[in-house]
Amino acid sequence: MSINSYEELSSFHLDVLKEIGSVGAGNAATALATTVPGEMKITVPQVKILSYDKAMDSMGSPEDVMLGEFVQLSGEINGFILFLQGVEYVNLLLSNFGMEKLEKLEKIDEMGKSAATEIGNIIISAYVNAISSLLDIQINVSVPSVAVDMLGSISSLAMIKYAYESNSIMLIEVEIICDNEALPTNLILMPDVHSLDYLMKKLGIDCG
Amino acid sequence: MDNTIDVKIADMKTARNTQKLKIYALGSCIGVALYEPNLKVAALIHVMLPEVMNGKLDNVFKYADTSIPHTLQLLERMGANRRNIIAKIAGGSKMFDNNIDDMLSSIGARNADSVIKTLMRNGIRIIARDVGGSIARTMTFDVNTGTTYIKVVGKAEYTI
Repeated sequence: MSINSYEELSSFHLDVLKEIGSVGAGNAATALATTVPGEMKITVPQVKILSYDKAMDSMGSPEDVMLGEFVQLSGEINGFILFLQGVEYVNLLLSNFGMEKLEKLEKIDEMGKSAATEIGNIIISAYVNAISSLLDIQINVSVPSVAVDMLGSISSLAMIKYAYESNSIMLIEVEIICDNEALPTNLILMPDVHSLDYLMKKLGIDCG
Repeated sequence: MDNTIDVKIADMKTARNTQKLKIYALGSCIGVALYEPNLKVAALIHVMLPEVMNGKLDNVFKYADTSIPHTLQLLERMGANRRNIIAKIAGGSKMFDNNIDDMLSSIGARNADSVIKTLMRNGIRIIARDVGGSIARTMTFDVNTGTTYIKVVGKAEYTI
């Protein structure tokens, strides 16, 4: 038997994915702590399977301006990571680099964008590396693509990639907390359905 | 009471008279407003993909080539005369820079192509368009006046 749609996953499968996400998030938090001061935490992942419109609603208000960093995963797992970064989080990074804080995220310049992208890349890589060594699989991470614009226009792209195969999407979401204050961020892992099947088999978990 | 109807991704809504139809944050997706001015009936489609692949039609409103003819029939059933129906379109951006894969880099442009071709094939005149670029757009269609409002980040709202 194999998994052919997200809906076929059992609650046990979802718990396994949550555990995998937790290991990734722990490593990502450690990486983040080395780049910015303050007590950085990354939340326990939430695993969601949602229709497109519900998935978009769950990420936040569609017109909120966010910096979206998008990487493609390939190798033994295929999918995407979308790292949504709000103005408070980006300002924390910028002030740490001695750059001026932004009143609005859309005012970000190339320098600021590149700094946020680089830190994002470190966090994403730490997340992926932890998953890769935990499962003993190879995952390649593409060069990041970045957009600063309305959230809805950024998040819809991930759905479009899978839209020919599926009417729902899986989100494994974590958020960043700094000094006990939640920053509007969202690191979302979106594995494709075939990768989940591969992953469960690799772990020796029955997919019946 | 706000009489604005929100049209979600891969969906379509119709409206009459004093209602408004709205799509938030169009990126590479396209908002297709179809309007019969004499009757003041309109539909707004939130197109996600250019065409159906391998005949697998899971949702008629997801694709440009299936959603437009289907919606035209619905408008006709609401009393619209096809010859009077006009279209206004917005969206079809390329949101991310060139690192992203081919399918995603070109999807906005392919959506726009397919929407325009499908409208032409169905004899519908496009009287206003705001497509392409690399910006997100919120589109609001006022059924009473036929005006389309476009909102983008960092600019004053404009009409098409």
